[in-house]
Amino acid sequence: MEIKALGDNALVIFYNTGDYIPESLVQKDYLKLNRAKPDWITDIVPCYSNIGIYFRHDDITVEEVWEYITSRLKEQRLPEAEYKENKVAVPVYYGGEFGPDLPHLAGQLGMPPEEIIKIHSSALYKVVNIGFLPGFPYLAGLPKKLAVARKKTPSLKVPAGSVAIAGNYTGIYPFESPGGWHIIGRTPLRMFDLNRSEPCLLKPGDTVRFLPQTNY
Amino acid sequence: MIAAEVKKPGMLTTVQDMGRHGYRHLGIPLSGGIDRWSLRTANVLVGNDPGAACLEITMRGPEMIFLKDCVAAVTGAEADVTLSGIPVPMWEGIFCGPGDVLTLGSPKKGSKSYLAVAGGLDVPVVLGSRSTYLTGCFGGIEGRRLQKGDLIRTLFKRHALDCLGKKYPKRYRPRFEDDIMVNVIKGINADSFTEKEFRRFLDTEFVVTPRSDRMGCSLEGISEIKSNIPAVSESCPVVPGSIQILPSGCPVVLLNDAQATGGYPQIACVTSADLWKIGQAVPGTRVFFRETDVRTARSEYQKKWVETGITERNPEVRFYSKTSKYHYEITLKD
Repeated sequence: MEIKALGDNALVIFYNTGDYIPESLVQKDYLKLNRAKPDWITDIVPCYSNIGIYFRHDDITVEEVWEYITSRLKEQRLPEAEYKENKVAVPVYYGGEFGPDLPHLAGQLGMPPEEIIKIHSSALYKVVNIGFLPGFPYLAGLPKKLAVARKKTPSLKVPAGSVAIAGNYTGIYPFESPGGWHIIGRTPLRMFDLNRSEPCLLKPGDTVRFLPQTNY
Repeated sequence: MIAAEVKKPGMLTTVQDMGRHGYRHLGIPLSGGIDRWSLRTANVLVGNDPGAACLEITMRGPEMIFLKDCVAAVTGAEADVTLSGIPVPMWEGIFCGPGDVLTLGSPKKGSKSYLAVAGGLDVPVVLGSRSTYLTGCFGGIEGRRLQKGDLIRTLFKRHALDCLGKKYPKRYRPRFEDDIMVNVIKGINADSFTEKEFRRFLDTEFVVTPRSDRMGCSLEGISEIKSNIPAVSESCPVVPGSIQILPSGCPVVLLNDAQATGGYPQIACVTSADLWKIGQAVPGTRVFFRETDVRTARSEYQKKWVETGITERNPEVRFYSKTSKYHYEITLKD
């Protein structure tokens, strides 16, 4: 583990290096830091292998934050109850007009579209972080067979709710936006809605399963 | 109260405050005024909290007609400001009466001006901030840039006219140079670059390109900066100021509307005291980076924070308003 300064008002904890990092470790440290966080910490952002901690440097020096983080991380484990994860089922209409990249992807991966749908919807995913757009989840747990590089030319308009894959991740576009991931389906769920008390449907640490829908 | 109506919106005018904290883990960026110092001073000049909502005006400015007596101040990029055709100064409180038309021209130097009105702009607070986030279509006025016909509402301010007569000392005002020296802290992915390559980054003269917006300022240098690792690494947190090296070898300095995490290697990070220089730079500005440390960066920030709150008494308060039917006699209080 290594802590580095990100500019003058954030620090990043890196879980190094190159080795396999149990995502539960990042997740547990994230929960630990998030619990009873002092008000000079403004944001805590988990990624796959690191955690960003943003603070108000009007109130505190970087050395003090550094010390605080290391002492918090040394604390005893949290009670198991704290790790209770939120499980979310996401209905998806695969293929057709909702998954325009599915046929091409089938060719690229050398398997029929039905197989891609089956593999994609049988895996259990974990929200590693939310980024790119408000509410866009990076979901880890994509079976290796579906790992594929991004599209060479990004689409200019990816509709809201599009379920897509790229690299080792699957994700869901919260708004219509440009995007370079392969679109395989669409969910009617709203990933981001300011009218809800919690605008984002998913948050880091949540578990996600995709439910294929057929009745359309 | 309704303070003014927008006649012309300008090129890109948005409502901004000091930004939206606490939502980055949901992919929601900081947003907020990119030149936080000019925003702060504009607020101080009209007696607002330093983080009250203002208009951030990029390049060509707006035109608006005032409907009530207001005290306003314009700071930031050097532009011609007129009130009903009469030139009025920047960096001091100005009185605008009903019927007065305030116009901001295109900046001669710098790219972003800030207009504060006493009381602060009154738009709904979304997730703790009034800042506009254009990509997410929320914050500010309906999540979008200003348009013709928009009403500028302000929060009530008691004794607003007492704020008149404040001026920001000339010696502290920002200078917008063609060559800027920007302090940076070594980046969290600096180990993705050889020491030689990092030196090359500090020795290279970069130029601001026109492909720059509130998300990032894209630069080009004579020599490309090469990282040791493939273009996209594991995602890492970013801040406004993070300098990512793109696969092309060109740097991009992330700004306030950039997402919370990014996959390109971060070679360095602009200090929060100096980020305004990048935010104000127009295409063609030459940029040099100089390495500093976190401790120095923080003391520079604190120095700047104090400096941008200092005002001096204007020896003579002039009324620029032509149309107000009232005649004010104002006693200036110290």
